[in-house]
Amino acid sequence: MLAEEILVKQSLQGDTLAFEELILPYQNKIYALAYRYMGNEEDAYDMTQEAFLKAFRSLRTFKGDSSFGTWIYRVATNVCLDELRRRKRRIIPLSLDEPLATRDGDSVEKEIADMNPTQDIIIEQEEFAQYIQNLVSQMKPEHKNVIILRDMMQLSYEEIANVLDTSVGTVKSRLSRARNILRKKLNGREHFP
Amino acid sequence: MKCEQIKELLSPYMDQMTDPKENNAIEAHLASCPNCREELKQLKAMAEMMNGLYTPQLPETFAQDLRQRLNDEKISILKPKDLKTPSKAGWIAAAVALVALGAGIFTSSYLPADNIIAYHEKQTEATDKKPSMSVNDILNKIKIWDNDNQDKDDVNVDVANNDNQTKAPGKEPATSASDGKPVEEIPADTTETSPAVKIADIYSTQIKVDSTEQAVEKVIQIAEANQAGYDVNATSSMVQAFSAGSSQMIEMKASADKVDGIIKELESMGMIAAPMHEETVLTDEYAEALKQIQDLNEKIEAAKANNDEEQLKQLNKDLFSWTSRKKVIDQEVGQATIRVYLIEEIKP
Repeated sequence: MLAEEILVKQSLQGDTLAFEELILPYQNKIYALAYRYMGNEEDAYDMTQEAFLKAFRSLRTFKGDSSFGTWIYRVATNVCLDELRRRKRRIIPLSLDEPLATRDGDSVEKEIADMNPTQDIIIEQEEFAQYIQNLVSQMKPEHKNVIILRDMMQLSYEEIANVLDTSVGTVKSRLSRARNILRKKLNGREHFP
Repeated sequence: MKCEQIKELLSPYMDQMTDPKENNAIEAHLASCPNCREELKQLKAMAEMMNGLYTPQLPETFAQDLRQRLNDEKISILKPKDLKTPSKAGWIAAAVALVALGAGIFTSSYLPADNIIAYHEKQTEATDKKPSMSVNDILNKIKIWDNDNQDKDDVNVDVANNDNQTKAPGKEPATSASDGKPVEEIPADTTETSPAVKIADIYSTQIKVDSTEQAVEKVIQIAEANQAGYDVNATSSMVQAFSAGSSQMIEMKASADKVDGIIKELESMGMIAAPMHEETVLTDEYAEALKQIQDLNEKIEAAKANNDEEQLKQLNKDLFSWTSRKKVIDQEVGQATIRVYLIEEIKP
């Protein structure tokens, strides 16, 4: 039996120390993931705590048909999306990638809040990170998920499909669509090739 | 292949997720199409930038915090964790409830009673309860609406209930509704305040001012001088509609012995409408909250026994909302609320 499986078994019996050991290798990754979703350290911290607590509570639903790592990514992704959904209800929804129907039936992409509208300003790296974060935060969950998991967390297509409980084909097409939305948004900016 | 088809494939292509046949087609196309070459270059650059984004370090307190919460989790069979560490969402819910609680009094002077009832029912529909006491109490006070509403059965019935219960101060309805279980059995966390007659004092007043901005400053000074908490709000559109100029509402929370002093100081600011004093009796609402909390705790235990995750989630949510209500009432009765509406007068 693998060490991870043993730890899962012990955790299931309420052994919190075993659980701590089980999740240790994933802590930083899940925090990074939560940071990408939430956009700030405080919320990322809370969501990471929440994700591991939820994992502890619902560990018996982990059947071992995917790796524990994949499962914990899934739990964390859902925790973040749930929280974002809860918040979205309180603010005016604005989505980067949901076309806004115009009167004549055409679709245009919504003008999204641009942190730095002057194109000839060379953006520092940190600023760019914020800019990207801002763009990604305004995407629909299905696009946000693949961008974060692939381009920011470097998961493989197959891992992403497992985390999101979907097919590799779907990951492929969503990622292609999401990247192109972002590319168009970045296109024309001074720093962009 | 056309550009359109190729463009679809560029994203998987750069991740080596295309098959050899597709690769041949893509590479042949790229050799002759500068547009698609440019697009691929951009996609690659973008992915590279996103890969290199700054990620903060996980704070060192993390493991310790988590250990604490995991241990709490183990012993929290009777105490759902949401009770102990309310999320931000919960605080906002509490704040919303607080505003809603008080709003009835002010809006009642503009809205027909029907609307108030509808408004209140909307808030409590999840629990299938009739309009509870605070609103009925307000209705009771606003005599002008009485004639219009004599034919509304449930209103009258509830007002009657209200009378019965408020006539016995200090005597909390120990058994509530049909289940007949004593309220005292609620887990320790939720019973720190013994239920009694709960009355919230709310004073509201209007001041006509030359400039709301300056007046806000002044009111804040008064609040601070009296150790009162304050919150500056834009007034509701309803108030705006009734005043030509701009207006602003400041809500203060002050200890009861400071109220007179604060109102005197406010009087020195300008034309002040006689302060209205309302007492909102929240006894029933409080009892209702206690009862709901108890019921929900029982249901949560049952759901935990049945491993019903979905049910548990919903119950915890409900529990949290009722706990928030209870907290709001606790806060309301602990302090007097003073609402100052500043109305800017338009100079001709």
